[in-house]
Amino acid sequence: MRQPAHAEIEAVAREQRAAVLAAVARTTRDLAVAEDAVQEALLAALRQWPRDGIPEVPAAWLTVVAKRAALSALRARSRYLLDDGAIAELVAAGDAQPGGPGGEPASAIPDERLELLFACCHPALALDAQVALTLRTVAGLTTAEIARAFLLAEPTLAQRLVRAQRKVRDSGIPFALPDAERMPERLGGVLHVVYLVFTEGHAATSGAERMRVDLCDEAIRLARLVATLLPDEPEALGLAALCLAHDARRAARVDPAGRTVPLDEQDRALYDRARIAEAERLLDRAALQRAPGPYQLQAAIALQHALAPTAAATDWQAIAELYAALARMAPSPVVELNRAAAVGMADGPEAGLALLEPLGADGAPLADHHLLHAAWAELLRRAGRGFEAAAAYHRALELAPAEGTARADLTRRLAELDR
Amino acid sequence: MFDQRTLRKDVPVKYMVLLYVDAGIDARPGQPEWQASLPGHRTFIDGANERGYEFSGAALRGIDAATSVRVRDGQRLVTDGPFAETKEQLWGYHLVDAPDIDAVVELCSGLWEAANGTVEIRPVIPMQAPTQG
Repeated sequence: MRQPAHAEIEAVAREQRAAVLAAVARTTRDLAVAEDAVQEALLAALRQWPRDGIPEVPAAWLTVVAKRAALSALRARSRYLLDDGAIAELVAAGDAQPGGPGGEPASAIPDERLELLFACCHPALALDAQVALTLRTVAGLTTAEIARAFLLAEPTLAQRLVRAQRKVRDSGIPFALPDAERMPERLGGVLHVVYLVFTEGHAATSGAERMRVDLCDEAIRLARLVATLLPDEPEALGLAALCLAHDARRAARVDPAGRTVPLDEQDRALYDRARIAEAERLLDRAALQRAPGPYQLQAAIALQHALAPTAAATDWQAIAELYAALARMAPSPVVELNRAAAVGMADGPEAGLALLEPLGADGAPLADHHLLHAAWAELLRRAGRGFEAAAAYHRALELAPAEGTARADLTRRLAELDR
Repeated sequence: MFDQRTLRKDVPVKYMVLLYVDAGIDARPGQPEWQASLPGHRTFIDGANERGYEFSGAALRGIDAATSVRVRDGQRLVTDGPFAETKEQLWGYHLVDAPDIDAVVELCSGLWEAANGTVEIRPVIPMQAPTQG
């Protein structure tokens, strides 16, 4: 048997981790026990595979070893909640030969990563716990990495994870897919968690936190996983397309000095063509289902921007129509704001200003948000109403957060207005 | 070799379903809210029966009938009224064995209390567990 390199073993083990964890967690119904058991199995692999070679089905080998470890851990406890099937499975694993010459388990383990993801994103868990648990369990990040990514103290995050794992175990959160009737709302919850991971990572790319784990990459991995395992769910495909289409512009979004580059000034040669093409394929497949949803619409908007050869060649008419559809399906002030800006580009600034009007009314949710006043200023400038535009820029500057690059951008635009 | 006898079967989990409604509601049998809640409980019981879950439960008399007992420094203090003045009252409960939380949530979704108050689900700690299997 060929002697595999350490790096190769680590790569295989990392790739199989989530699937093995899913298989063990489904049996033990205890994430903490399952995690420890999988860790033990990975260590066993690092010890044995250099000598014996990588098994034919590494996931099966790891699962057998991990289940055996889980059984030992559970036996050491005074009580645990397992049904007959689970007990039989663990005992069988304990008796099975994990591999080696002649004892190789032949068949692959069933892919239960989706079940694991639905357990981590169960609505009985708080949203921040769902996010942390998903990153730890499905994405395989360490507690330290997640804590750093969310700018939290490590003990805070560790406690959040322990509490979430305990709730999964004690409340009997199932490692199973919801039935068809509940699927739409539960899938919505899963997609929301993945989207939150992405937006958190997206917000961080403009900051100086180079130490952070790349949450955008993790979100894309998760979104791809869901899209692969649920290929007939158009919104799952839509979310993956959305993350990819947004992320395709990553390199162009920040200049070498770390400043955010506005969309209309981005170097389109820096856009990631492979990601754009993947997003297009996903969205095309989603469209076959003829069930548009908010993620698909947002992906289509992001793709319009990513595909436009120049800022001037952007199809604002199409974008305005997509925002109108999005506003009908998932109304929110932010969507209305973006729609007004798009209409302002498609049909002229006065049309955009008319849509913006109600958003600035006293007590409206965005009335005191810098983005509203910045959009306002932009439309006024283009309408040739320079005096009012300057006032709106000043108001936006007052409201813009001290951190980030919004203030610098606004100051520059205000200066350009004076010229 | 692992011995199956060392493993204890202890599934399904037992869940306590606590039924909270507005404290202003008259909890007496025959009152309008009481009547309104009956079909939901019938559905709950039928659902549990159909799926073969063991269950029990009871309705509680109102806050007016509550008595609180506290012992401090060996002194027993018996007072009129509930544990805490809240906007909601506990007016009944179900105790049900179910395979997982989703099954209980499903059973509870038809309850009048879910639509007009809050249904809180709490897993019960199994107390009769042997220390060694």
